[in-house]
Amino acid sequence: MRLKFILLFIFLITNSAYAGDDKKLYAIENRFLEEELVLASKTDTYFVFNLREKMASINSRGIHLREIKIQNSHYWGSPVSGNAYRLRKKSASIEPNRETITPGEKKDEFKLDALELTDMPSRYTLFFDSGPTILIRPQAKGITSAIYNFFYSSKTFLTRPIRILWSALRSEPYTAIDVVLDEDDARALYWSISEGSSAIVYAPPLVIFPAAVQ
Amino acid sequence: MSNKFKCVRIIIILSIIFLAIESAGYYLGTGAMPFDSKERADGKADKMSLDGLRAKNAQLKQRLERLTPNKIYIVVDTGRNRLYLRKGSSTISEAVISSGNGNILRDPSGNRQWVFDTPRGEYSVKTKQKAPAWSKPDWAFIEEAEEIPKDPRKRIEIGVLGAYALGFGNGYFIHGTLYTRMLGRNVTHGCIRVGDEDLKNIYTVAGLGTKIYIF
Repeated sequence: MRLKFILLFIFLITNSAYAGDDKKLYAIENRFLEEELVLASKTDTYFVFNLREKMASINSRGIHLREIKIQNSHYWGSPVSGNAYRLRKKSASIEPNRETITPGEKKDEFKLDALELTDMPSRYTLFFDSGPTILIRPQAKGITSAIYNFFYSSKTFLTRPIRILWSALRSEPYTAIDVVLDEDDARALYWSISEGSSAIVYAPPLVIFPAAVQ
Repeated sequence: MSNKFKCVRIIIILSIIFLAIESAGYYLGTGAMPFDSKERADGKADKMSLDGLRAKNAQLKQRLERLTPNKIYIVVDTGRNRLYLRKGSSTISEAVISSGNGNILRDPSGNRQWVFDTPRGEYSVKTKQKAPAWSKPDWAFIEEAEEIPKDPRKRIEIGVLGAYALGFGNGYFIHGTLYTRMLGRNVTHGCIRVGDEDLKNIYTVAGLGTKIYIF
């Protein structure tokens, strides 16, 4: 009899905790859906970084124009809000250049002067207005990119805690999200996202998804 | 010897300080909840029951779904140079296209400048033409270092836009091409070029008002 009571007690405790977690999840998801509805009411393309489902998407009017699989992600710093963020700047060490046409110039038939997807960088940073900084990098393919990624991760793990501590001491929010994408997808995202674009970052609570967004 | 000992001591102390800073930063950086707890503690959401939240969730998703056109619509991926005819969430057909080359042209005699990008965003089919004629805009003459004609008839060029053209505003069209080997590349001045067969299919399926989403 006592055992039954104990089991019932455990069931009630765990069940209510589970329901509480569900409530949190729905409340957060509803907050994001409300925000997406506002963005979808406009004609502009917007972006969703769904860290929970490891999926980024290029959207318009609620339609997923293109879905991009997030290979890996790591979350650092202050929490994000449910608001949409405006892209202030996108920055890459080597940025693509547009060609300027010289009127009347004879064109080389074998040379194509055009800005194409392959000209886009696959390592870049997206700075959002009073929001997170998203660092995009490609999944390692081959020894060169693996070495580059190793040095990048080492540098990040050394410098970022200092940056976070500095922000905390100055009471400034700082959020950095490392996002690893397939190389072509990283280029495609750079191609599509432009300064002024809106984005939603869907980061679930740590309680429910431990290890944040590994 | 004592100097050497002092040096080692300083290195150890600095390492401990560095590690302490690193640990504190790491703890602060990874210990926080990714989602803002203040946002989460939304008063209304807290008062709502789980069923209420579920119902609201379904309702919000429905409202988002309702924004998707219930008729056929066109999606253009300018990066991959692909055009998709879609209905709901399913793709009916896919075509290889050519879109804007992203180059810049400056008018040597004035302050005008053109960037040859395919415009992005939501558009709709505004005009449909069979055997369209191209009325060459100013940039087409400037690019070739030719004089801009005063007679509008001298701007007309026949046959370069293919068999059909679907206009979606500001002089931009989905049209055919003579340069089919360039399909899949970014070579246009902003228009969307499609191969003959695909163009016929698009022209047949897309009516006036058909939504076009370009990214």
